[in-house]
Amino acid sequence: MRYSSIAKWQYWTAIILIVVLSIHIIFRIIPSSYDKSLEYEQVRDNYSNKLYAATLTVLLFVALFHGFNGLRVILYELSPRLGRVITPIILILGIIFVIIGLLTIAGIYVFP
Amino acid sequence: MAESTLVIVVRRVAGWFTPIINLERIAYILHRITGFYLAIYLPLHIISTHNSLNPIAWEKELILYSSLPIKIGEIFLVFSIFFHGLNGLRLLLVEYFNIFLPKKLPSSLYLERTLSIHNPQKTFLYLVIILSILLTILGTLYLFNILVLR
Repeated sequence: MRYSSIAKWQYWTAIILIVVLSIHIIFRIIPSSYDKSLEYEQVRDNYSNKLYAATLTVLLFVALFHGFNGLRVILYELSPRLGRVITPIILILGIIFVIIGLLTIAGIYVFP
Repeated sequence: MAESTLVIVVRRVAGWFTPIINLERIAYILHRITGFYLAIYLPLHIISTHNSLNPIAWEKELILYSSLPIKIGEIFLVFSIFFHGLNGLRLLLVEYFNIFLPKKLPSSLYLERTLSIHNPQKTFLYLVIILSILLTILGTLYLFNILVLR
């Protein structure tokens, strides 16, 4: 079966997601309880770990691509016209959320 | 024009549910619903975690997290992550790597017994459903602080 390159990326990002999302979930479980994992110091401490920050960066790009492209495919299947309209909107939203995510990882707060 | 697009979308979404004839079809619908849910959750999660940079904003987030509607949403989130991930892995192995497909392919995909009901693949689907439910139960216990590690 032949796939378009964007469909191949959907599969490959799925493989990467399984790995990086597992690491993300494990980091949430390590603090022993759900409430403890949400403590301010615990969350900030996670970001200070450079290896984990790098994992989060990969997760950010891969999850946004896989999620938003998946959403685009669903909308395309439902209505090609809607799919065409939604594609540039999804692309712009994707870029905005990548920027917000990168700022979070870098520790730069931008919300008012 | 916009109305006709809306009508088409509604009719096609309704088509996901009728007729639900087999487990494969249910898995297909669940994969779409959980994928859609995760795609909506992801931007909200990115916005929410950005508030972790501000202690006051983070305190407000924590109050929101402890509310019942969010907790219910989180239970479905746990199910969505595990079901979408495990079922996605199944689809990846079958569709991309052609694992679990019968050695002898039917001459036509439109035969009454399609590729999708090949036995090893169906066993894998049962495994996906059972594991998703078990992991959702464990995840829910963790969310409600009933399951505490160490």
